[in-house]
Amino acid sequence: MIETPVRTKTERGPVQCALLALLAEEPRHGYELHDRFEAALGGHWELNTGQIYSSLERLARDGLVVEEGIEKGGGPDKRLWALTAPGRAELQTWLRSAVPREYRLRDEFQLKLMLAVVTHAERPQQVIQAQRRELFRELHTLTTQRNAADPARELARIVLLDSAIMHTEAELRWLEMVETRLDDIREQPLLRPPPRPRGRPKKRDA
Amino acid sequence: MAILQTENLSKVYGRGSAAVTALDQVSLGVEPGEFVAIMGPSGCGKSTLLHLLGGLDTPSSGRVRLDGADLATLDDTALTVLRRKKIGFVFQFFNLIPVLSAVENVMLPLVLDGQAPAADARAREWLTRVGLGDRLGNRPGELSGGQQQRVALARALVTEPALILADEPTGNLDSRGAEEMLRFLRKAVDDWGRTVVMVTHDARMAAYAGRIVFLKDGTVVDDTRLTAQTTVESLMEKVETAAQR
Repeated sequence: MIETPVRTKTERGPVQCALLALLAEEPRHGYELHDRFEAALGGHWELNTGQIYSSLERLARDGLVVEEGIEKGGGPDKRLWALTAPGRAELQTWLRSAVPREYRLRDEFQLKLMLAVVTHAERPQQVIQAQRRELFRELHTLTTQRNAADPARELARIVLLDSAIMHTEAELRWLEMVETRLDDIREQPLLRPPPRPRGRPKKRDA
Repeated sequence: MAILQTENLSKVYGRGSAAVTALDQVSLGVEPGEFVAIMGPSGCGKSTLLHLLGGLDTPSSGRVRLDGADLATLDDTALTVLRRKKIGFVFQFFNLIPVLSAVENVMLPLVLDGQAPAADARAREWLTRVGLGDRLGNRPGELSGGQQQRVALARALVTEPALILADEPTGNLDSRGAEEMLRFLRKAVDDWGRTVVMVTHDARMAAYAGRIVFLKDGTVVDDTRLTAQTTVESLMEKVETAAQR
């Protein structure tokens, strides 16, 4: 079985790894890296130049890239950077490892729903309905945008919109499931916190 | 005036202790030019509602008005004629005639309506509009699911009805065929001036509509408009935030 390593947060960040990828074909100048990064993602992920140069410095310090030259009269953006062998190895590891997914454990909608269930301040179905309406509106907007995008030129945008669309669909399915579960619960008992001990703590025997 | 209006519409199947209420006092209006999706869990009454709207079934109580006319006051012949002139149906399983070509299938409603001379040209026109201009001579068996459903749509539109009723039109299609179908249904409203009422269980398909009616246990539990209030800028903000997560 092929194990896919999962990245942890302490490892190299995505911007540094992206720079390694952009140097894979050939050495490039700083300004090229900035432009190519943004172009690859269709302009949906902007980087400021400071971020690029501090990342390159860090990569150089770690031996993953080297400076190969500099254009005459050029500033930091005119330096030429190249990938080293360890840099190439690091790049492969990054491309082959999975990205951990985060799930919202503290979610305001979840909070709203559970409070409606236990406090009877509002019918839970109303809470769900309000959320569902908004999700359908978003789905409508996202689908319209996606259909208007040109797959030949806007792949990055379409991929992103498809992700948003599918996540919205998933939320709608989850809401449907929650609604069905609610039908099965006549009443949810209010969770009582454990009783706090009163008075002074008892003296311990020596 | 509403193109469709129901008044306390109810449908009960069976009798006595075995009676099942499929629809319970539903009052609903659809204006011309709307694209309405009807959604709800299995057994909520959505298909029953659609059949009643199209005069394919009779209510237990209450009324259905199409362009103001109470369907219950029409005899069989009048109802058939009304359906043929004012409504086009699209079903989940296409319902095309396998031994006829695409163009012959689409011509059929006009031929049955006594408009045979114009039928061929009109059928070709509608098939071309739904992107099947190069498939006129093909039989259903030679077409993909999505293409067959588009033939069905052309057939529904060839009589120039004001109203299209679609019952799970994408239920038998893969996601690409489904998206194509919905684009044409959207076109039927935006470009060709029809009213569309569609039953679906698919949220993404429903989101193509301008309004969604939610049914549960035979009653309307929600009725909401989907027209985007979000501006392009705020949408792009959301897309960018998603990119940076």
